[in-house]
Order: sequence, then C-alpha cells, then structure tokens
Amino acid sequence: MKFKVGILTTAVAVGLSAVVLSTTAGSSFDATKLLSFKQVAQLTAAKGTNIFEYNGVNYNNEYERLLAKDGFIYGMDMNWFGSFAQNTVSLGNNNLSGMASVFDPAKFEKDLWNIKALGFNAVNVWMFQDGVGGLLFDDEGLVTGLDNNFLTNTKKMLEIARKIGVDIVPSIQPHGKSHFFYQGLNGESPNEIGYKYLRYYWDDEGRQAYLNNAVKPLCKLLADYQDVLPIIDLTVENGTNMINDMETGMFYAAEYGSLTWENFVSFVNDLNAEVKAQMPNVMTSVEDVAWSNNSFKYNDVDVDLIGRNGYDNQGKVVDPKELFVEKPVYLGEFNTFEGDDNRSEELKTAARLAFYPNAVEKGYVGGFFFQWDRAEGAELGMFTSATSDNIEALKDFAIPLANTIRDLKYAYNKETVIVDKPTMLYYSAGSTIYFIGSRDVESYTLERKTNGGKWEAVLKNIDPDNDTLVNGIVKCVDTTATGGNTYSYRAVAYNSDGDYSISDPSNEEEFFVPEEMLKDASFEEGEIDVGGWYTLGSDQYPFAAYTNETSRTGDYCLYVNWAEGAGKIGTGNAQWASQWAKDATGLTPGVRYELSYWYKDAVRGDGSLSITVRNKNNANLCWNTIATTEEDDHEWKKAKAQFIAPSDGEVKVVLMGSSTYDLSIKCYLDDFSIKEVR
Amino acid sequence: MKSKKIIQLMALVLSILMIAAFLPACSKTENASSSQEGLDINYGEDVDIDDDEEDYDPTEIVTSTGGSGGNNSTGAVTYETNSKVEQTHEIDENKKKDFLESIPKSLSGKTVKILTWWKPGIAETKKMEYFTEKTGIKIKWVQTDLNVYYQKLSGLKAQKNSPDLACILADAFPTAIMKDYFQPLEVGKLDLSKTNVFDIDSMNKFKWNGKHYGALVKGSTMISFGFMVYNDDMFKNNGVTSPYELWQAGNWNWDTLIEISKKIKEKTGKAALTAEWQGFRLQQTCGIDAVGIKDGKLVNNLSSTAYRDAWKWVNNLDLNGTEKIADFGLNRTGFFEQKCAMAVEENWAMQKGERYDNLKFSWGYVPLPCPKGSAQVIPSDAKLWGFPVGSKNVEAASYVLEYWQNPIYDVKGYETWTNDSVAKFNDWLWEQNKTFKVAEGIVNYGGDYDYYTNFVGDIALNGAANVDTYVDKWSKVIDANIKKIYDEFG
Repeated sequence: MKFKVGILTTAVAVGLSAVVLSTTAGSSFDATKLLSFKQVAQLTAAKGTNIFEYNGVNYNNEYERLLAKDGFIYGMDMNWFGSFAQNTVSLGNNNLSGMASVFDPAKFEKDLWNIKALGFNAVNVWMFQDGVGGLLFDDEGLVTGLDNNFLTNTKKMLEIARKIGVDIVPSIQPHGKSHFFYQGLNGESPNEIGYKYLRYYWDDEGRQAYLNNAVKPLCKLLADYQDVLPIIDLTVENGTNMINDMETGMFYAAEYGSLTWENFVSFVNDLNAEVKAQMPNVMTSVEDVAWSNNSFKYNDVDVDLIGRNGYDNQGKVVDPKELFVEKPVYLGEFNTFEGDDNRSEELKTAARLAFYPNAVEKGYVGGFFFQWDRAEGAELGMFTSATSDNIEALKDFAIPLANTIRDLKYAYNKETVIVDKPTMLYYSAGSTIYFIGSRDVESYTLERKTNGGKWEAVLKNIDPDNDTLVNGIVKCVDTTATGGNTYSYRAVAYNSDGDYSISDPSNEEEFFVPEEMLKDASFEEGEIDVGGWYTLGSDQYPFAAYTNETSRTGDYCLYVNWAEGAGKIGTGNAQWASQWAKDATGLTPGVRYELSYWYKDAVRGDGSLSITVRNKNNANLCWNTIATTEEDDHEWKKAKAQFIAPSDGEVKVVLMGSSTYDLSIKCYLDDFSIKEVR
Repeated sequence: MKSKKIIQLMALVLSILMIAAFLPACSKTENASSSQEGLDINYGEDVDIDDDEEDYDPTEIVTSTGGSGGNNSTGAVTYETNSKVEQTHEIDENKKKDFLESIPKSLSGKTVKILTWWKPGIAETKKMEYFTEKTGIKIKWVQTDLNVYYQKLSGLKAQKNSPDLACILADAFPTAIMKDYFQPLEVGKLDLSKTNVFDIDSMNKFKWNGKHYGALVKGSTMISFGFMVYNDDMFKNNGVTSPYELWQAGNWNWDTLIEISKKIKEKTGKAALTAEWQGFRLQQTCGIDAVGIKDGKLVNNLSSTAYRDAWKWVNNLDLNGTEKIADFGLNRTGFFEQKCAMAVEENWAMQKGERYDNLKFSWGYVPLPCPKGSAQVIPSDAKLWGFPVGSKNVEAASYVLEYWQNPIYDVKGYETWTNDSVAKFNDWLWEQNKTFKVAEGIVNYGGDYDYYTNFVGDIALNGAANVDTYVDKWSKVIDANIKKIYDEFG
C-alpha cells in the first residue's frame, strides 16, 4: 500500500477544523464568511499546524485524516440532483439537451446535515453528468469550457460541505452515455450525441480539449477545498457501456460504445495526471463496476484506490484478497439488489446493516450507500418518498444503520459508551424538532437556545417509546416557539441509572411564521361565490350551505348535509356529486404545505365528505376526509393533510360529497387553511 | 354487476381495516355511552355495571333480548345452565388475591412495557392499576397503529427499548418469529401446566421449531371467534324456526341454514344473511384454512376439495348464487338496521361498550353452522402474546400477561363482555375445536396488506363456477410466498 498514514513535513495550516467547523452551529449559510483552502492555509501556516490535522497528528491528505478519525469512510451516494430520467441531474446545465440544473443549495445543506446526523462522513457527487453535463462544446464536439452554473453550484456545494463538516467525493466522469434519454437540441440521436461529444475517450484532440477546458478548471476549483475531498473519483463504473473489449472480457452488451481497455486506461491515466498536477496529495480512484475477475487489471492504472459495487441480498462483500488487487478498495455503491422489490423489507434491512461490518472486517476503507433520495423510484433510496424533503419518510432501516455506524466508530475508537449521544436532525425553523435518539434510554429533555442565550429546557420526559416515530426518529413539538426569535435545539438523553448524554446543537434558525395561502376561508361572507368559494362541475346534488347556527371563529361556517341516498343514480350506488372549490395561488413550487380545517358534529356512516387539494388539472395532491384529529378546540376538531406545491404554485381546495351506500354525512366545517410546513 | 363487486370489495377492504383496527382496540372501553342514546330504542338487556354477581340470572338469557345459548351440533351442551362448559371465567376475587400474592416481591418496581395498537380503555386501565397497587410492578402502554405494529416493534428493538409484551397477530405468524422479533415462551415464568389458564391445544398449533412463542389465555379476547347473530324478533314474528332452536335440536348445519334462510326471505322479502369479510368466516366452518401448519411447517391447503367446496357454498349463498339468500354487502350495519335476519359476527363486537349493548330488537347467537355430519369447529383468529427479543423484564411480564388477559381477574363493574350470557358463550367457544386463519400472513408476506383482501375478494366475489380458477391462481402465490419465507428466514 503506497499511502501510509504519516506526518506531513510541509505543514501549512493550523486548527483548520476549529476555523472551518466553527460555522457548523452558526447561522444560515453565508459563503462570504467562509475561508477558502488557500486562505485557511495562509492564515494558519504561521502556526505550523497541518490543515489535515486530527487529534494532534498531521496527515498527508483528507483521506488519511478521515480514516484516522473514523477508521472508515461511511459514504452516502447522492450522485445526482433532481430526476435522472429527466436529465435535470447535473450540477451544471446540460447544454446538449437544454435542461437546466436543479441543484438547490438550501436542500443540499439540509440533506448534508441529516446525512451527517445519521453517521455518514462523506457523500459522492457526480460532476460531468453523462459525460456532457456542465460542459460547453463547439460544433466539432470539442469541449470549450465549463458552464457557469456548474462552477457556481460546485463551489456552493463544497462550501456547504465545509460548513456542515461532511466530505465530498466528486466523481469527475460518471457513466458516459449510458443514460442518454433525450434528443439533442440540434436533433441528434442519443448515439449521435455519444459519438460526437464523447470523443475525448478515444480521440487525442478531443481528449486534450476535455483535459484543458474541463478537467483543469474543475481541478483548479477543487484544489481550494482539499480539506473536504478525501478522494477524487475519476470514473463511475468505468463509464458504463463505454468499454467493449473482447480481449479483456470487459464489455457491455450495449448497442453503442466500443472503447478498448487500452483507450480507457489512457483516459483514466490522463485524468489522474491532471488531478495530481494540481492536487498532488489528493487520492484518486476509479469504480470498476464489479468485474470481479478483472479487478486486478486496475493495479496498472494510475489511481490510488479502487471502488467496487457491492450489491448482495445478504450484505456480503468480496474479500479484496480474492481479487488480487494491490490498491485499497472501497465499496463505490452498495445496497440490496437494484430494483428488487420481491423481498421483505426485513431481509433488505438485514442485508443493508451487514455491509459496513462486513466491509470493515474484510479491510475495505469505505463504502457508499446507494442512495440518499431517488426521484426515479424510492426502492433504493433512504426514503419511502422520492425525495428527502420529509424526514418522517426516512425508511425504517436508516436508524438501525446509523446505530451500526455508531457501533463501528465506537469499536474503532475503543470507546465504551454508556449513553449514545443523540443527534439533532436539521431544524427547519418550524415548531417540529426531530432528532436521532439514543439506545436503551428512559427519557429525553429538549433544550432550546433563544437568540443566542442560554440553554433552557422546553420539553421534559420525552418518551423514547411513545414519542419515537416508527422509523426510529424522535419527534417533538415546541409549542412555545414564536416569530421574531432565533432558535437552536439540543437533546439530552437519560438512561434509567441517571447517566446522560447531550447532543450537539441543531442549526440555528429564525422561527418561521408561515403565510396563510388560502385567503378568507372562514365562510364569513355568508354565501357562496362571494368569498371565493365556487361550485365545481355539477351542482345537481347540493350538499353544503353557509350557516350562522354555529362557527368556530367569526359568525359563519359551512353546514354539510349529504342526505341518505343523495347522488344515487338509478339502482346503482351513490356517485361522486357536487363539488365546492376555492383557489390558492402563489405557493412556492416543490415546497411542502399543509391543508387544515376544523369540523364539528360529524355524523356519518360510510358516506364521506372528500376534501382534497388539487392542481389546476384537477389531479389530487392530497386527499383527506373527516377522519384524523390531532387537535381539539372544545367541540371542534382539526383535520389536516400535507402536499407538495405544484410547479405553477396554483392549487384549489375541493369539497366533494360521496357515499358508497345509502348513508349520510352531516357536519359543520370552518377555518380552512393552507400554510407552508417546516 | 362489476361495479357492485368493486363496491363490495371496497366494503370488504373497509371491513377488514375496521375489524383489524377495532379488534381489541375497542375492548374494555368505558361502558355504553352509545350514540343511540336519546333515540327511541327498544333497549336490549340492561347492563348494570354495578350489579353484584348474585343478581345474575342465567335463565334470563332465554327469554330476554340479551342472547341465547344452546346445544352444539352434537346436541351435547345445554348452554343456559353451563352444565357442559367445563370452565367459566367469572371474576374470582379469591383467585385474584392468591395470584397477586404469588408474584415475587422482588419484581416490585419493575416496569413492564406492553406494545398495543389500541388505547387502553378504562377497564383495562383500572385492572392494571390494581395490579400495580398490589405488586409494585408498573405498566407502561406503548401504543402504535396496527398497520405499523411490527415496524414499531422492530424500531424499539433496534433502539434497545424492546417492549416486554407484544402480539403475534394472525397476519404475522410465523414471520414475526422467523424475523427474530420474539423469544420462546420458555424464557419467561409462564406456568403452561395451568391448562385452566392457557389454551395449550391452540398454542400447540402455533408452535414453531417445537417451541411456543405466544400464549393464549382462555376466556380472553385474544382469539377472535366467528359465530352467528340473529334477529330473534324476525324469526318469531314470521314463524320460522330460529338458528338457536335448530342448534338446540342438534340440527344446525349448512343445509338447515339455507332452509330457514329461504323461509325468512320468502316471508320478509329481505335477505336472510350478511357478513363482514364477504362470508369468510363461513368458509372456515369446513375446518380448513388456505394455509396449515403440519409438523411445524407451513402447508398450502388450496388443493383441498373441502376447502374449495366451502367457498363454492359461500358463493352460492349470495344473491347472485344458486341459493340467493345472503347479501354480503349489508354488513353489520345492515343487520342492525334489520335489513336481514342473520349476520356472521365476531366475539370482539360483544365486549361491553361495543356494538351489542343496545339493539332495537331481540337477538340471539349461535355458532356458525358446519357441513352436515361434520364436527363443530369455530372459525378463529389467534392473537398470541409473547416476549419480544430484547425484553428486559420477562419474569414480570409473565405475571402481567396472565393477570392482564385472564377475565377472572377483571375488576367488578368493568367486566369484558356485554353481559354474563355472552361471557359464558365466549367460554364455550374457547372449548371448541377451532379453525385458525394462518393464510393471511402468508399471502401478505413481503407485500401489501391488501393482498389477502384481494385473495378473499377474488374467491368470494366471482361466483361458485370461478372458485377453482381463483384458488388455483392464489395457490401459486401461496407456494411462492412459503418458499420465499423459508428462503429468507428458514
């Protein structure tokens, strides 16, 4: 092994971790307050301490520092941003398809915080998506430069990583051409795009343009962030579909792609040389796409590490010794079998929890779980939903996986921990606070710091059994938080012997007071069509009317009286009938909102009043009936449901009577509301 | 026709969800503050929770509206006098005292966590408060939703906060054991030699790898029994022999059910019968479930002719079948609204404060009829309670389990059942041969809870002529899932 942990003689910096990480618990992200790698180096050089220092020991690079600290790279594959299938996935624009990047720094910061909270210490992100993302080309298919969006977003990404304290493993060249789903702006077919714009794989002129105009400026940017770059990965899965070499046995049965192994090696070696020219200390790798019998061939490629895929339904990993590789190995991706939903979640969980211990035991240096969120389908992601916007959708295996990482870190550091340190999840500036709890504890206390003051307990005796969601996350609601204040939170875990452990603070945010998006929805106008409510579709079976018999607020509310048999057509059963609607506009696309309303004296059988939020095409965004109640206000009860705002920010609330049999529903409704939730 | 089937299926889905949600969930709630209060109701037997036990007159049950008893199909049991009910489970203060005093004092101060899917009602709460007062063992109810019950259990286990008692539901056997959620009962202090307390025969049917993982306490609500309720007024007023009379006469079977149903339908113009779950419980009276356990192994029973014939019989009861006597879309609500004369019911609905405290008509109940000439079996769902892996207080939990579920330790005034007659009928049901539903956990394995609903819907809603086709289809699913279970955790 070439890269031994050691002392760097050309020490450049001091106390980097203190300088950089001090922003972790600070206020909202402000890149201007952060120091670049070079600035930090310059400022701290005089103190004679290494930028890669950990625990009093100086290391050659972030890779060595991270391994010294945690013993293993607990990686998370973020890989792309947005939808893979829609090619909105790159840090930069795709200038061939015309698709713009959807990289969202705020979401990335939240994600990175939560990834760190789960115990991961690095994330993998792809750079030149499909080999073309973020790149500018001339008419000959030669790379002429980097898209500005790409450079800006990459810098933001690295700044955020530095702020949060999670490392980034950038993969410069992901799968080349393997995921083209689009026609080029000039009408090129996917194959034509590949042969024209990916010529740098096999063509000297193309290669030089790519290295000079894309890789070099990227590395120049990355060089400022070596403190968060343990590895720079040169290719993902060997640029899947690009190698088709019968001689080596490395080939894909794709209709395109005919690189020889020789072409590929020269490409990787050139990439490696460019990276090392600007960052001689940084570690480089390739991912070998798990050609087990051929892994040894990478011994002769100019990289430092080999990443291998590890998909197995029992969490097994191949012993590197059996691969005859001479370089350190990490799992570039691991999970249970991709796309396999024919196994129980328990089996998948057992496998997912087995990978890290097995990889550590076999001598791997890291492993990247595939993947954080996945817009194409939730089966492999960490969330039951396609995105990570709702932490309550974190899958059940996530907390056990976090505990596995905890235990492996304890073992590596030879720590005997009596009470796990709770870990705050990202504080979204609302009333709801989430944290990852401790094991075998009796209670928690939630403490709050207001406007930078002292820590004060706001919730005591939080029950680890009943206040923990089924996915293992502890959920608290601070009902005393008010607008105009800045808060951060921390949790204290107590076991039955009185031992305790205090979490690090959450991020600090100004309390968010959401705007009411559904205006004048308390029926105070006294009649329909005045206050914005209108009938939608047929009014054949009127079922609702304004009334001042009662109200929760004001003088009026809505009285719903869906009579027995109403809407019944012929001898069939009742049908969906009259609908009332009210519009809300100006919602922020992609943001989570909550519909709520109050009801009273609901009497029903199997008949129901359906209350939905729809987009302008009448597709339901959420669906609710008078069923769920979390809050009472004397005889009024509150029902609520959440939804994600559509791209145009326009929705409508629709009330619709329905019954499946000869059953009725009667109730009063008041105070409809749509507000952003955090 | 198709839309009706869809709606019936929707009703079936709703029914299953409601049954699942309410099963013990509504048990032992505060007595009878019914939504029917204030209406012009001809009340059934009054339930005075303050009555002393001595006030109970078993002869009332025959003449009153509160229920009935009778012989089983062999004519052996005279239910009113309990002469053939081997063991009743009436509150016994002396036994309660003896039991509580037998609990080691060393367990005082321990907390036993019970994972439920319902909010404990006042009866349950009072019973366990008394237990704590006498033993010093504290009870902590950990509540979750039924549909995430094992997710919650798994999560608590992962956090090293396992409950001390949890349930192996009908849809989770044997997978909850195979997934290492439960320990064998032998780790605890349950005295399984107490056959008057534990239903060992039934527990033996759920042994896994030769060991018990879940207990069933006799007289409790932890087996859902299927049986028949009927509108006694409707039979009397129309001069039709009631199910009770047929049962008493030892002549209560599939054939006589059809005979009286046709008469009732002819006289009233109404459907004779309804059921939740599309008559699923009626199918179970053949004594065979879709999946059985033989020598500790799961067995696909769908090749059984008796099983298929039972479903064909059920299909033919439907208004679209050959007998045209049953409207399975009416459900319990239809029975309450007197739209039919009989309904297939489950014992949970007979708990105090549940569905049968106050009805508008006289009613009675009998076991479900079985095929003529065959022995009586009772369609059943077991909810076995055991010790989760990671439990820290197994010994204390053992005493809690026995005390909590045994009705003889109930608090007076907060008894389990809506009246004493029902309690004794429940006792009788516990003593019969039972057909347990095992298939649900197998059909749903690795998939969706709706799969079992679809399974029942396919076989129950498409007519007798199509039963074989659908049974064959689902047989492949069951085979595949049994294989998958053994592949994954066997």
